[in-house]
Amino acid sequence: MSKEESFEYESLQDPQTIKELINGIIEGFEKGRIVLSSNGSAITMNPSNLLKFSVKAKKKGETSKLELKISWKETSKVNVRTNDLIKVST
Amino acid sequence: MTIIDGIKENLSFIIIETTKQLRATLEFMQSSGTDGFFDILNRDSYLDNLKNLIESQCYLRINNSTDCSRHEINEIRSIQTIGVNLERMGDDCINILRQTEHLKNHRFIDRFDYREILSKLLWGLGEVYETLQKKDLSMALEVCKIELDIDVIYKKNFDDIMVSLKTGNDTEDLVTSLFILRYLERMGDTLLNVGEAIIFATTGEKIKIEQFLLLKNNLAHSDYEGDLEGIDLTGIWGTHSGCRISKVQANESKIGDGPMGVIFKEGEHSKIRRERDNIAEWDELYPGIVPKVISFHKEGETASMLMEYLPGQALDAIVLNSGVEVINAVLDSVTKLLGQIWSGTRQYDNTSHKLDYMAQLVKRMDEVLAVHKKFMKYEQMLGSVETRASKSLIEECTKIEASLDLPFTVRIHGDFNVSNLLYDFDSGRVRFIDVYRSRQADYIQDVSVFLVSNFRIPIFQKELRKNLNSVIKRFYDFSETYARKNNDGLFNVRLALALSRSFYTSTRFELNLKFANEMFMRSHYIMEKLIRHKRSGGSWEEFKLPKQVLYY
Repeated sequence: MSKEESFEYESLQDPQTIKELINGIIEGFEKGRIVLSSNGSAITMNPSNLLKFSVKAKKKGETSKLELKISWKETSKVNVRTNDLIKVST
Repeated sequence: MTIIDGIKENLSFIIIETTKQLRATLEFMQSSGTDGFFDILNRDSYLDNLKNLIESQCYLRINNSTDCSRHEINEIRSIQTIGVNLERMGDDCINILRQTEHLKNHRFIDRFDYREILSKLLWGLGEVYETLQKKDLSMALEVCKIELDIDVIYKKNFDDIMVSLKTGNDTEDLVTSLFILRYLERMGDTLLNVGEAIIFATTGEKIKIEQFLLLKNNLAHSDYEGDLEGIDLTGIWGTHSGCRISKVQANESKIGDGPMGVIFKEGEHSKIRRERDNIAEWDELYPGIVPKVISFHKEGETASMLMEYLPGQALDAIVLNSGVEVINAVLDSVTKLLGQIWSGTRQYDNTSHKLDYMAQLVKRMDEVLAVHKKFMKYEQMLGSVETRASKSLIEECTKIEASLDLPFTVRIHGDFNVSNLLYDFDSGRVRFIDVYRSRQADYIQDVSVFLVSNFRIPIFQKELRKNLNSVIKRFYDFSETYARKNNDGLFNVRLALALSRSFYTSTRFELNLKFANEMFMRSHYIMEKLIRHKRSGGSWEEFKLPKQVLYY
């Protein structure tokens, strides 16, 4: 089983700073490489091909929440079993 | 027979049985053979059963009744503790017996003072039942003191054994004797637990014998006319700022012309002395604003004092239990008094005074991390953006702090949190308690601690939170107005520094991770704001505190 890597960040910010933080990530999408690091350990993400993008918003009383989620499969090969290929012989 | 009578009957049995075991142990040690050896062993299981029976009866009584008074519950808890300890004493008799089997010469132990120790233990045991029945505090103290006497005897015998061991003779018997004496010394500790359990049943307070002796000394040096039997002890705040605080009051049954309750405070000598000195200074400046010191007593590294018990309610209790009009009226009295103090004690010669909010934060960092080990952020990369580590934020804010001039100093409370302010509804007076950190300093120190002490109250009910928020708002507005009237253009930047310190260090009192994290993040947000402002090149007079951080 492959090792799970993870990264977490949490802070309080004003809208201007949120914009700067999101821009830092947007730049990564443009380059096809986003590095997230913390205390010496880094996780590198390579968004490419098909990305799933979902937006969720919720308002309850005084609390508002906006969730942006982007997920994808990172692989250079198409996942197929070679011996499953149909053999056609004459 | 009621359950409590049954419990007491069994207590009396277990005392008798333990006494028998101790006597039999003494006789066995004095004899030359094995007489009584098996009797003692056999009786041990009876002691065990009695202990278990007492324990079951005690829990049964507490569990199955709704009519147990606090007093009765304390007595039951005390009896259960006594039962457990007496059974342990019985076990130590067996341990001693087993050790004597290793003596090459059964009479070797005669060289040491085991008889004296056992007779002291027997005397103490003989007083237990009556002392508990009569709730006789002085006698309970005498029972406790036996342990001190036994320790002295043990030490002397221990030293003798060490000297003898160096000769190389009788090594085995010397070591065995040491084990026997060690068990006897432990029996002294066990008797101390019994004595302390009686004190608990009498006063309702788990107080250690050393503290009780200090209290006794203080009472002897004060004008308190009652004696130890005439007092009730109530732990008010348990331990507070490293000091132990209790309320001492005349027993209801003994209330006559006696004095009103007093506060007994015990802790590190330097802290207690500083508090005494600060009380004297406050009292001279604003008579009656702090409790009077009745007596002060130093003993080694610790000190204790008796202080006047001030009537009134702590401000946090008022905020959480009163309507908005009452809260506002009380807060007006507080701010009015504070305004008078600040203006009355204001000094403009501040050459020696440096701001130290960041230093205060660094000093408490270990305590914060002991509770929340993740509350120290590292640098993080979010794509092309680098976020700041806690350490670097603090370092940069320390530089900001060092660059700021303090416009004036006032006499501050030093630990101005809501629970250190009392309001007496009868007299309409505001009083300060816990003033050991009072000094001439920046008034923002008190402002910040007050604001965050309201914020950090872990109450999330909407209406009560509104009360807390409105106290915060009124107090902030009062302080800000004071700053403006006194040309303190650096009010907001200093408050921001002080708040980031208060939010950060307050997390050490909060175990609710979500709420603690709110405070931790607020602290970082404020520090980041300060650093951004500095980098923008704006003057500190222009700095705007993001006021929304004050409210939850």
